[in-house]
Amino acid sequence: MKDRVLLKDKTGDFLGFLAERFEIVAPVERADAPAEFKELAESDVPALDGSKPMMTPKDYLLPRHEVLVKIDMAGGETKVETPLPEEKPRVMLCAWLADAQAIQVLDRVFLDRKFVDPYYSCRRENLVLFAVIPAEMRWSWFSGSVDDVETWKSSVDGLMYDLGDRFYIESTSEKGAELIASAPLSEASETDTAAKNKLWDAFKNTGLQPFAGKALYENLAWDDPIWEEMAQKCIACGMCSFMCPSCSCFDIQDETCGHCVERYRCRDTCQFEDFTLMGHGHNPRATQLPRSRQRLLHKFKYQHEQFGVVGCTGCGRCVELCPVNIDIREALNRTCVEPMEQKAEA
Amino acid sequence: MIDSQTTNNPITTLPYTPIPATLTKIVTESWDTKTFHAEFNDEALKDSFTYEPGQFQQVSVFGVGECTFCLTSSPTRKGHIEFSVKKVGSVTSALHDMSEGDLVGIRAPLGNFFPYNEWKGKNLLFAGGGIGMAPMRSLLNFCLDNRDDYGEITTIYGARTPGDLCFAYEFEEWNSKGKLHLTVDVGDDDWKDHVGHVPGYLKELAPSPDNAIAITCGPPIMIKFILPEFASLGFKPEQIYTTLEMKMKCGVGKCGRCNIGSKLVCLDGPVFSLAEIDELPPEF
Repeated sequence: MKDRVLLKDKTGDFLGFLAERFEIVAPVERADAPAEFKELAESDVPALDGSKPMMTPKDYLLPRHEVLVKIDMAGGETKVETPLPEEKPRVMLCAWLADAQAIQVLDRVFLDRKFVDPYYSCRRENLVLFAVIPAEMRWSWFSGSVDDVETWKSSVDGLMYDLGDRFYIESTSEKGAELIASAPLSEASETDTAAKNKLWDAFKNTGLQPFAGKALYENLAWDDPIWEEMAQKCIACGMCSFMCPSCSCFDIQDETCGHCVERYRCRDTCQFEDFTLMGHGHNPRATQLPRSRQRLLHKFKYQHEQFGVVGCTGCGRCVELCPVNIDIREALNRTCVEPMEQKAEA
Repeated sequence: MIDSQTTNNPITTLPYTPIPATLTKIVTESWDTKTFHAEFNDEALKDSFTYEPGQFQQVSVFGVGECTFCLTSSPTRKGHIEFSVKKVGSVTSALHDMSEGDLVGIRAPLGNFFPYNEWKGKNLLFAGGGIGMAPMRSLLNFCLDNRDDYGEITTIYGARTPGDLCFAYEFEEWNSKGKLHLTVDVGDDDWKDHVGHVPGYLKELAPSPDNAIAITCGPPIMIKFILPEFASLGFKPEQIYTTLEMKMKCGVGKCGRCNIGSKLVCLDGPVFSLAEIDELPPEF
């Protein structure tokens, strides 16, 4: 299938075409906050170029607050209701490619492992996914260091490369190809293709780290002094987890209003002390050290052991947003690469 | 795990939705522990519900929250399920305040179970401390109900004081169909059995590891001291089983808090052999 281009001044036509077939999910700019993924309302202007920082697509697939069960105890009778989201065809536009790959991690947690999460599944099942490669790379990105990003193209249905006045639209699945074949788009010229290739190379090579290509899951050490160093700095604010596109741990709580109970889930993080604190007072991760270690080992070692994919996709949000400047790239280089180099020298 | 579940149990498709059940009996086991008997309100589910010894459940007190408890009853004794609750926090306190006839929500069965089929013809040794007897009781009663499948069934059960021993109403059965050894840290005037900790009593009784499986559950401090005793008696890590405990919310492998390394206690456990535990990161 030939790739095509979307001239930016024709974006309205393209969105109109999609809206006839899908619920469109895209990042929407907000007045005083980063763009957030949501179902487009008619008045919404989507931020399609991916150039600004944004919340992750997980905010759409796993809302920050989601009612799982409603319990009505009126009149001595107990009715238990399960409010599932509506299943309908959806298209998600302009997730960063790292965020789209992170959905692969979420899929393995929520669509697999013996139980399917019905809430996640309703939103995810019929989702067509287009990722964006912005015109400018962000300084914090390091996707090329954690994986071969070429393989990530199969995690999406298509890619939109921002070439200034146009998007180059490349389909990477049958579904994606069918869609762009019938969409109101223009033919791509050879110049467009060359510009797209250049942009892809820039993405692949952005922020490459010394640990690139190293099997971190084999080399991350349980007793490395880096965990203590990270723990000393960490203020356990949870920012790294909440803004991570693949962190998906949640809490479940009951909220009562009159004779009704809403049982909801909300974000939680392994960085909080009470995450593993049990009723009788025992906490297997009682200090910050094992909590700092858990987050990195979970992403780079345990999830690889569980699913064969790395849990971090190098989106760089935790690097940019950590209030005490903990940089996981530095930690990974220190704990893996330096000992390996020392070993090689010896 | 799913195989043992019935089609009309919604846990397979709506894994977070609690099923209404009624408390039919509440047994006071000790000053801080009660055992609750519950029956599903749905008649069809009540009849068809089945589980395996070692599996657990999530029990809801609507409006307060949900807590993880093992299924302490044996699947051979049908009609109701049981869970034992030590009063420690908000949900467990709310349960302790409940009466017979009150409503709870249940999500079950969850987790793996004791590989009892592989143990046929073997001698079974149960070593439990305090409320740790609860997860083993399901298997113990299951094996006693299938008595001919197993060799000797020996139980060593200890608690801090005689009043802390749970399931006293079943001691006679455990001792007639098998052999029961009781011990307490501190006895009272009426106490005629052994005084001392479970690990020390195990050393004294010195059961043979030949053709045997040991199952042990109890407070972490007991587990810490009993494992070396098993080792010095000649039990290999493959012969020792326990159930691990971690904080859980979902119970179905999603909420992310019960991992030990790449294993999840809610899906890969709660039952682990010591050989399996030795492979895990030393987090506990």
